[in-house]
Amino acid sequence: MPSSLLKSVIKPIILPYWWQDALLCIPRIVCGYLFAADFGAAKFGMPWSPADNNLQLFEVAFWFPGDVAQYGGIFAMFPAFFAWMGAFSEAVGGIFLMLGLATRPFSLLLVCTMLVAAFLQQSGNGMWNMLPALGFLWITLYTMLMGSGRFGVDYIIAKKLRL
Amino acid sequence: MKPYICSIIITLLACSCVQKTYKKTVVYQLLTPNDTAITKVSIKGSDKPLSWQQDSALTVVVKDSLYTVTITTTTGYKFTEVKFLVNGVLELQNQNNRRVVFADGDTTYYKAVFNVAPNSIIINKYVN
Repeated sequence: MPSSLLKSVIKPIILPYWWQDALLCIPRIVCGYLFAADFGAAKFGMPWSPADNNLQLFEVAFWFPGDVAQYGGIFAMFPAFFAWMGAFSEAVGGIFLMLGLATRPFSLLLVCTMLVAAFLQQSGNGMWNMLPALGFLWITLYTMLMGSGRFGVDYIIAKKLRL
Repeated sequence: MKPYICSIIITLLACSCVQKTYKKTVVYQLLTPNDTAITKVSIKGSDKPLSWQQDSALTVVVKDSLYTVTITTTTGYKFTEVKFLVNGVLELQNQNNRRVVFADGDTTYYKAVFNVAPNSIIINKYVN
């Protein structure tokens, strides 16, 4: 991968003071934890998924492709693919977001997933039901632009590689 | 050419990683309170053909006492969740749904008493 591309993907934007980065890493870590431990693991097979959900590793829940197909258009053409990508971005992307590793690519995946969740899955159920997905969207939007900040693995990698 | 092949392989892998489903049949039996004149007994649940929006009727075994329904659902999970209604009134309000864990075989038998939580202890109080 060319160095300039790696730099734009990995190197985070650093705020003037360390406490500003510390403050902004709190919603990133909480959001990543909720995705990985709860929302994602319920529909994507992870070692900590609920046993009664009967999910094998990296398997998407049986009902999710059917839900995705109802969004119509391209989602109806490839429901299994989009369901898998959406569930993967939450369960696995959540871990990466929490660690601040490959923050921007996984944030981009999560932004796409949350846009679909808010405006295709929940739009018919009123604003109150759209709020969780919108809340996650605002967080992943800033991590997509700024990267991990000082408190993430991306910052350490960028320093080691002198990006 | 390589990225295209990789994309196709990833897509195929992703599509094949959907949880397997199987058919599970649950025979529900509901005991209802004896002191109520019953016009309708029904069930709501989380897996199709049941839903939380619309109820499905149970049939009479013993009038005003025992009702039954057999539901076959296609699922990947090891459990389903339901609640019963008598005369349109939902049981166990503000409490958890009934969690029905499927038996290893195709058919599960589930017996319930209306408005009594599955693990609740009924204490008979004697007054002298």
